[in-house]
Amino acid sequence: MNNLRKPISPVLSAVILAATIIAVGVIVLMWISGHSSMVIRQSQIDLIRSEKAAKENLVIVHAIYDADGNKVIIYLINMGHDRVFLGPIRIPEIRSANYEDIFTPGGIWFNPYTVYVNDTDNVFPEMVEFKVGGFPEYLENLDIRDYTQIPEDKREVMRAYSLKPYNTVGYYRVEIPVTLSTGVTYSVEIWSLVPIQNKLYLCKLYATQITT
Amino acid sequence: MGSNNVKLRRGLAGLVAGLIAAIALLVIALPVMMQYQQHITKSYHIKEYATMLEEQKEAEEKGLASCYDPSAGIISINNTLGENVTIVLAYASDGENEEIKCFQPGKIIAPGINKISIADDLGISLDPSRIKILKLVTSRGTIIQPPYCSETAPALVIIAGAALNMLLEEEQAPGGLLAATGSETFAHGLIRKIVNNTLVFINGTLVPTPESTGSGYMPLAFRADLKIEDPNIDLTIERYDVGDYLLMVINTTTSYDYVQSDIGCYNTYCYTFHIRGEHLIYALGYSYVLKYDDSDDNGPLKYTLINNGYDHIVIGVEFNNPEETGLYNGTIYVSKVKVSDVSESDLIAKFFVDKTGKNINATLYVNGNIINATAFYRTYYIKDPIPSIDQFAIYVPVEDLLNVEFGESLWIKTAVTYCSSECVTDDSEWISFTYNPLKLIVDLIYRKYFGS
Repeated sequence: MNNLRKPISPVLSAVILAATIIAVGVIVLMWISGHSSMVIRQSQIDLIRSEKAAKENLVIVHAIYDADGNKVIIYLINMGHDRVFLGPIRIPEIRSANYEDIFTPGGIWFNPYTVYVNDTDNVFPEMVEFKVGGFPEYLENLDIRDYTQIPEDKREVMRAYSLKPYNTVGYYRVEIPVTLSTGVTYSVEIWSLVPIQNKLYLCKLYATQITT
Repeated sequence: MGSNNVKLRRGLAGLVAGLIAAIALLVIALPVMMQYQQHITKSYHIKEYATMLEEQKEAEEKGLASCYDPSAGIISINNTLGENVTIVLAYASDGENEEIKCFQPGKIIAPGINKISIADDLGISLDPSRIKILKLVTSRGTIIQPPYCSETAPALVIIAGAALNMLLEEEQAPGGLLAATGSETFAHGLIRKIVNNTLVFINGTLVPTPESTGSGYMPLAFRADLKIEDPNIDLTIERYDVGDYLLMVINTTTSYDYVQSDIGCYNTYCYTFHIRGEHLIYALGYSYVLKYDDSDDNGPLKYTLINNGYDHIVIGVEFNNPEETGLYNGTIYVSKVKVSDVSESDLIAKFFVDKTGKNINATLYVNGNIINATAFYRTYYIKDPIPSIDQFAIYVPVEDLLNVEFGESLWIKTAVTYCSSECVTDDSEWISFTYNPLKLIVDLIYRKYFGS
């Protein structure tokens, strides 16, 4: 009996082998690139936030409690970055069940605060509204444990004041309507936001303290 | 032979196939790898850029020494950076009214000593003598908050790397400054004396004592009432604050007192040096304690006191109501970096003053260690037998405890709780303070007159 099996051409076997390796490689790479594109997208967002945070230089000039007007006044100045988006402000010491400690532009989440340009009473910086970039991140950083306190239609939306550099506008006066006890020290946490791909991400935390 | 050829061709074919596959995979993987590399490079550049900005701010904080004279409404700023600094905003408050001025273009602070009138140069219309908070913001975002200039202190000058307000040596008075008959020099505190024949070297941190009083019966920490033969030089200094630093070399055959006197000193031995009569002053160096105002809120904290020492700093507080009796509890926070949570400070000092019980306590907490602190306080006899204490300061050996080096910045915050019928707490803002120990200048002058 002759062995009639014909040897496969080496060229054909090379092509089959290469095609097999490429096919397996592509499948593996597809999986990796799917994962890595997600990682890259997140790191692109982180990179943009780091870049903005590095360039951002919002200075809290002074913070004081106006007992007569029942409000905290903060003087801010943007030291030169093209635009700084001012987002949520928090005074952790006044936290109670209804998140009285959280203040947002236009009161979109919980309580409102207002920003005035220089010493005016009727000139405000532009207010922008975007979708929230990372809802869990907001919850964590603002220490919101019960997210149902935020109305459903507002959960994915945040507003921010757009603050221009001092050499075009001057300074900003932030007024937070709140009643504080006397003889107590309060900390004030101010978040700036950065819009990336039409979503607002938390960018940089500025903090100061006031004693009433 | 034929079988070997086939094997060889198969092997070659496999190799070629592997190469083709590797190249193909590399081509697919390369963009991903490139993207990663770009990310890493860019993150590195961003980090470098952020560090550079932070360093620029720190350098500016260190290089601008300032103080405010409320009687003249003048801010003195000594710019040691060697380049212009631009002030873009000024904030002033008298506790009730506030005023903010923005400058476009900014106000230039040239290298050297600058005198800035808050009315004429900054356009602030508040009564200068009533201003309690003053802040200047530079174009780099640094906030300068000048403390009050001490009563008799000139603008702070940096001499030979040491933050002394005054240094009088033989360069200023060749052969020394002859304090003639009728002159008097007095110092009290944690001072040491070294004698070599007729040469006397005195240095240390000063503390007022009610056993010797100056104008208005203020407890005296230092007095130099020098009758100088040269009519161009007239020197009279009286100081009443806790925490000044003195360095003095005199040559005298006149007898003098150097006696132990622990009034105002806790957990250490203090001394009084007193000479009346002729003496020759070869060197007189003086560093005034800085007083950071916190009187705007009428809380129990009036000033935060900070000064450099030989290899340490002195940090303290001045209470608002020296006449009150009762209990004061206080905390001093020292940190190498500004922390949002004070409990994360590198060093925490706690103190307790019971005026009625004449009881004082001071403790340092660092790295889990509890250290009984050395402390100083200013006391009067005006409410005898209850001493009225209104200044309290703690000796903080930052080099030993925190490994802080010359020129490094520290963040300091103080808090005071006063309890009579109820307790009220008052704390300062974080204060940036540059550690400029005086040992370099002290050792230099010591070696000059006493050898190694």
